[in-house]
Amino acid sequence: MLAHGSIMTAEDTVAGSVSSITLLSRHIRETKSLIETAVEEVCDSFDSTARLSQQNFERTTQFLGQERGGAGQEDGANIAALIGSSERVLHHLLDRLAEASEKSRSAIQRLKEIDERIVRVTHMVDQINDITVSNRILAVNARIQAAQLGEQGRGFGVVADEITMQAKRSTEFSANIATLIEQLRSSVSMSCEDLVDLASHDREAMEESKQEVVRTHADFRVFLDRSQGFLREAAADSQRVTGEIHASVRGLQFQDRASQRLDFIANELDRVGTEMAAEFHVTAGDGHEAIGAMMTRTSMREQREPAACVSAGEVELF
Amino acid sequence: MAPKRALIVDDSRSMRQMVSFTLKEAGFEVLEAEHGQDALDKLRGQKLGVIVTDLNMPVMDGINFIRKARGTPEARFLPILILTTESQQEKKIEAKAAGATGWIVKPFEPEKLIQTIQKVMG
Repeated sequence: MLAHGSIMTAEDTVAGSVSSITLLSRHIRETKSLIETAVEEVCDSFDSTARLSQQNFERTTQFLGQERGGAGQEDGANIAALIGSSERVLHHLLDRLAEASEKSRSAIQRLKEIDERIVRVTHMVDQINDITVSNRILAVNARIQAAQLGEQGRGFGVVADEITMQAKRSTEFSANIATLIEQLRSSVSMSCEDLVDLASHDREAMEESKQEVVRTHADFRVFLDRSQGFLREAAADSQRVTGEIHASVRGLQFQDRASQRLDFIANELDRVGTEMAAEFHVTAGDGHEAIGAMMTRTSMREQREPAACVSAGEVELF
Repeated sequence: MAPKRALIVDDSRSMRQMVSFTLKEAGFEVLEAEHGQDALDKLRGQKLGVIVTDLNMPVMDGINFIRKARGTPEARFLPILILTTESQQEKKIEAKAAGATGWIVKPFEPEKLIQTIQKVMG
């Protein structure tokens, strides 16, 4: 074999082979180490994935209230219960409002009755006024009689004055009552209008609110059902992930067998190299030229170098 | 009832991870040791439910570990399973004589490993 223009001896060839064997053995151990590291990283990743998946499953089932052997009614069920409870409260509130509205209608009816009674009082005041007018006419007649009778009719004059004074007071009294009645009717009328507006507005608003409450709760229930559906699927997916990881665990164990075989090959190579070196009285260092030749002719040298693998993913800027 | 605590003995970190992952999934608390001597040190004072050990390990192999473990109060009556790539009959006889409870050949099926452990734990 020619190397750098010189003829290699048999010892050089053996030394080269011994060096090659040593180098191969080293590469095998490094390869084994790389595979081990890769599998360990995958295992780490699986471990955290499985843990997260399990946590996700537990949280989801707890939320859905389906935890095996658990308290049963958890968050998800509580939400459904809350919706039901809020429905009941709102319906109760609307019932109370309806009751209040009904009472408003009764109040309007009573105010109308009061107004009718006030009208009757007004008629009575008119009758008093009629009586007052009659009394005034009576007083005028009494005064005429008193004038005709002279001294003897003085008593008629006194009565006429008294009747005139009473009629005047009665007129004033009637006028005051009429004013008060008018004010009272006005207040009753305004209160009645307000209550009518309020009752009518309440009824419409209440009906709208009722419909809105029913719609909102229906939407909420649909949303909750959908959310629970999604969460059930997510929980099932989480369990599937755990199952898939279990399946991968078996596949990944090839590394243990491969490691043992690579160990065996490396140990055998070491043994062969040691025996060859002892037989031919050479050392691995003697065959550096042969190693150089082997490194040149083998392919993917960079990929086999541990340094290249360790720095994988690193960025170097110049 | 036996505690759900397991000691895994294997020189391969990835194997320990895989067994550990499988047992944790089944609700076990897991301790790990790299070889027989490490396992003997770690089981001291522990209340365990099961030990799962490899056979070929540096410092102290699985057979020697089982022999020594059977002399400790912590592991005298404990189920000890061997999890190994080997399946020679002579080795199995040796392991049984040393006090092993069972033998599982790698690669293991996670579900089967759990079932076996639950069975030996009673």
